Amino acid sequence: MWSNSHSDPFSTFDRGPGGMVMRLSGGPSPRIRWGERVPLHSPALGGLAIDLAEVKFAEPTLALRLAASASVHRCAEVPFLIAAPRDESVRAYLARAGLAREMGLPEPSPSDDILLPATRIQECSEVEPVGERLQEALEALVPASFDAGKEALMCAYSELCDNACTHGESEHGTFVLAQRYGPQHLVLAIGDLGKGIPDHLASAQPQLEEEHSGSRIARALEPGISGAEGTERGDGLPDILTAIGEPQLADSQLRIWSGEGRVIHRPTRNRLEGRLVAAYTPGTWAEVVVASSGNIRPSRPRGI
Amino acid sequence: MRFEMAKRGSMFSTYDRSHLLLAELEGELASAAGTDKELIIDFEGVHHVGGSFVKAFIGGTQTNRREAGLPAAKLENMSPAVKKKIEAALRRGESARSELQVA
Repeated sequence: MWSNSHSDPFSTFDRGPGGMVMRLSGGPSPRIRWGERVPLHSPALGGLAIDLAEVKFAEPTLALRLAASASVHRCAEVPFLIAAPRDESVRAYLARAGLAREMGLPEPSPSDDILLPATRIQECSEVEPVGERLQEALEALVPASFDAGKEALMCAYSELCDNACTHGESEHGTFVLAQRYGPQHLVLAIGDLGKGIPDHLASAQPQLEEEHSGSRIARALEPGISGAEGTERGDGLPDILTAIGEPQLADSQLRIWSGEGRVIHRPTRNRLEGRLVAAYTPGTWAEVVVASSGNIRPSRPRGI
Repeated sequence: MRFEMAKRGSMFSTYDRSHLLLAELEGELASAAGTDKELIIDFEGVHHVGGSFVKAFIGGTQTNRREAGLPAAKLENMSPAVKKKIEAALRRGESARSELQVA
């Protein structure tokens, strides 16, 4: 949440002549790459401009959070624009990811790295039609030799969308973006502006109230732990861990941001980090990387 | 009666969808009441199913049939990925655990 000017080593946020202006620095910090500071709530009076001129690193979740911010501001009929990155590859990537209009750029030609540009799913009934588009793109652009990766990505899409529309209950819907960096490296970003995992879980399981947000998100990755009623819920997130934990997907990982918490899970390291982060994340945002061993491409610059 | 999933889509993800489809299936079964006691759910052409969907739709169907004294529904023409997902989801679920019939 934000209402006043702030600054930190990664971003500044000030009142400008046409509304609020946020500038992101160009460093590789997670707060920039994954857009942890991008405002997702409370449209600013007089509009919002996000200055990405110095940004040299952009993960899919940054692109998706920018698209969500644009959508939230558009719904509130508040002006929103993005000053494009100077870095040509990052600028082109963000345009292909669905942000060309917000940056004042022409719509790019379809590319074979974006499986699904930033898309807003407004109703639960749209989950399957959008998923079918993603499935078609996977079949067309990812080789059959990576079927395990395609299945893991679809599993993540299915379970995260179900969670977002079943538990998230946000008037803004669910935002999703999928891309590939090569034949065996896929990324899915999904977010919503709903209640968020820590609050949702604590409301159903009061014994978790004393645990911090990061810890509660980590709990949600355990089988059978759910904020929903009924004994047959709570397997969606664990199913994703199972899917990306296949031996041939050794470089996969799952990141989740929600409220004041963040979790990073790397199946092959058998490691689950649930921690508190400085930036509050409205709703729940997840990035799923599905990759076979040795196929994670260098992360700079993104978008090629 | 044969219930063809592909006529309704190629992927099934959400808890919401499972309830809509369950209602549709129950409606068709009611229309066909007395003519056929066997139910086949045909997954030909289905690329993906989600765990929540499986537990609510398949599990719900089997529970309804068990309570009505009818034989369990048969699941046919599943791709290996869909079959794996259904088996895993039903193994964990309470409903219809012992009633999965895979053709």
